[in-house]
Amino acid sequence: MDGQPVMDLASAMERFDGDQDLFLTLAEMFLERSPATLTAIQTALADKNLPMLAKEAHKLKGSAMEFCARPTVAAAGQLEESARRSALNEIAAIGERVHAEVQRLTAALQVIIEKGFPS
Amino acid sequence: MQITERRIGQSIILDLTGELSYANRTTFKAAVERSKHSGCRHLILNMQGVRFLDSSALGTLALLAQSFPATQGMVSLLNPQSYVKEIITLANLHQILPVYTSEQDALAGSRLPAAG
Amino acid sequence: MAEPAHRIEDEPLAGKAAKPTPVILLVDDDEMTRISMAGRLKRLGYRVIEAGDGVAGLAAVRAQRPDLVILDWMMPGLDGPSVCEAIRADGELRSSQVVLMTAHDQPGQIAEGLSRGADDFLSKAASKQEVLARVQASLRSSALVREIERTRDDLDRSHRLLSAKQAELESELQSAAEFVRAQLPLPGMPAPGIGMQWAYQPSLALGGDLFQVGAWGSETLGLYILDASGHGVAAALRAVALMSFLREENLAKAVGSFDPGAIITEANRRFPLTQDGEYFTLWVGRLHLPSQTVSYAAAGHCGAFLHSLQGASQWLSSASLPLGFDPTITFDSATAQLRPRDRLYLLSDGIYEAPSPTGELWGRERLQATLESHRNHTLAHSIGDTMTTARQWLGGDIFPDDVALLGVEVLDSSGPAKEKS
Repeated sequence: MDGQPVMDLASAMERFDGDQDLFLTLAEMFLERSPATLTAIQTALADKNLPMLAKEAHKLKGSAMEFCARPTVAAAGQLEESARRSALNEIAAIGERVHAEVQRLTAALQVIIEKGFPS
Repeated sequence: MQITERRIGQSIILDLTGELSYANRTTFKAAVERSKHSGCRHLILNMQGVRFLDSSALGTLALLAQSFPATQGMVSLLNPQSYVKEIITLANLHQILPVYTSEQDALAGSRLPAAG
Repeated sequence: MAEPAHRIEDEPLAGKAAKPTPVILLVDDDEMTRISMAGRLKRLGYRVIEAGDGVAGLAAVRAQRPDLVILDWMMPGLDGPSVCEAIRADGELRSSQVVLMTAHDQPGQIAEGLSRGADDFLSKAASKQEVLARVQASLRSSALVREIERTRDDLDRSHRLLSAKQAELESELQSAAEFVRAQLPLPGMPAPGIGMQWAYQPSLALGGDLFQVGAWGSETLGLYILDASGHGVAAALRAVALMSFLREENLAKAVGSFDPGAIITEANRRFPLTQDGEYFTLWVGRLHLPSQTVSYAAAGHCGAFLHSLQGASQWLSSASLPLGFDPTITFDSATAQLRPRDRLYLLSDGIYEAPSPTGELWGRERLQATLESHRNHTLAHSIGDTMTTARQWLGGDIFPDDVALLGVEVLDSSGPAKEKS
């Protein structure tokens, strides 16, 4: 899992037709949201609130898809699926992986915001 | 209305079948024009197969009578039947258009001086 | 910073500069995905309106009438399929082009989406090419639907215009018909000692049959009936023209006398066959009131019947050509003597040529018998009942040709004919 790049920047830029402004706008939005998202997921796990967990995971998955951040998308997707299946024994572990991937993604996005796009 | 043309010497006989009415006056007039332009001294309209004639057709026949001046030739009618014959008679059309009962008489009529 | 790369080959509007930019409404409650899709669509050259929930989206469809509506599937409140259903249920909006956004891992959504009214689907994971292709396809459908609706509206408008025009024409035709009818004799006695009744029924609003009774000089009554060949407005116009010629003042000038033969001879010169072969038939009579003699002449018209109570009834006609058939001929007058209670009928061939449902014509013999059967009835009754009898023969009310029936009666010095219903 760690071997996979946190996001496929080339595919993302292809998706946005090279629109770097749009990418940056979305990246900033993601950075802004991610603390609240992670907190919400934590709370839902603690409360075993499966509907809330599925909803937050689904939303996170959609956001991560914008950046072609495949590991994050995969983790969020699995969390959503487990929550829908009420697989209580799985959700904690997947929740932790989600947390880790989100950290990696925000770090990578931060780099681009501060240092610009690799040439 | 079906129209067939027969040429006999200097005469043309147009055999008419069907109705002579407002509806087909253009077809009829066109056929007459064609015969006229192919050059004939006597145009004989064979009315044997005509089963209906309206006021518009009467007027067309009268116009024909007026447009075939003596020098160019003449028009005549051949063998109108029952109802059509009655209409032609009531309108006194024979006063301006000769009406024959036999084809021979009609063709012979070509040799007569044109009606005054 | 990056510049927007505006590559011409990807420009969907290349070569369509004249057309307005398509407007896409994007409805998505997730701000990030909404901004992303909106940005991508704008970059492709479209105008994008955004709404953050189903209710706002529906309101925007109504207000803006976008060329395309893209709906996210999952939304709180009114979700995508529900908005879709609402659009299809609305008479004004239901032809809108609607695309539902699907998750790329849920193929079952397509069946449900279709059943709830979606036209097409777009995955959030779609590539730039796929978004472009789907949007273009949807916009083509949308444009087609708009075209159809415009054509339908044009048709409705044309139809309304045509109906209005038709109503206008019919109203004008009515006015013309009223004018023509107003030319007919006024009810009442045209001269002392002479009774008159008539019936008139053109086959269309207007007809080519007209008659008149009026003074021609002192002590004489002029009567005539004319029939312009053909039907409808053209025939009516020509009939009115001949009627003008036959006015008392004009006859005095143009003919110099009221002799029927002279009148018809002059009319025969002045009214030639038209180039379409249209013509008139005409019967003219002149009743000398002191002697009660009627002189008359005809051009191809045989509709004058003298119903004599004492002498022999007779049709007052002669073999003659219609007007214009031979402009060189002359017409002679004949005379007949009228006696008290005699009736002179002028009638158009439309009445005795009335066909039965089997096609047999009523005929002059039956008409004559009907007129004579009213020997002891009033003239009004005779005219009215003759029309009724003709209609019975016809088996209906609509005659195929114009019907005109005029009767004048020499009143008995002891008063009018006995009333009998």
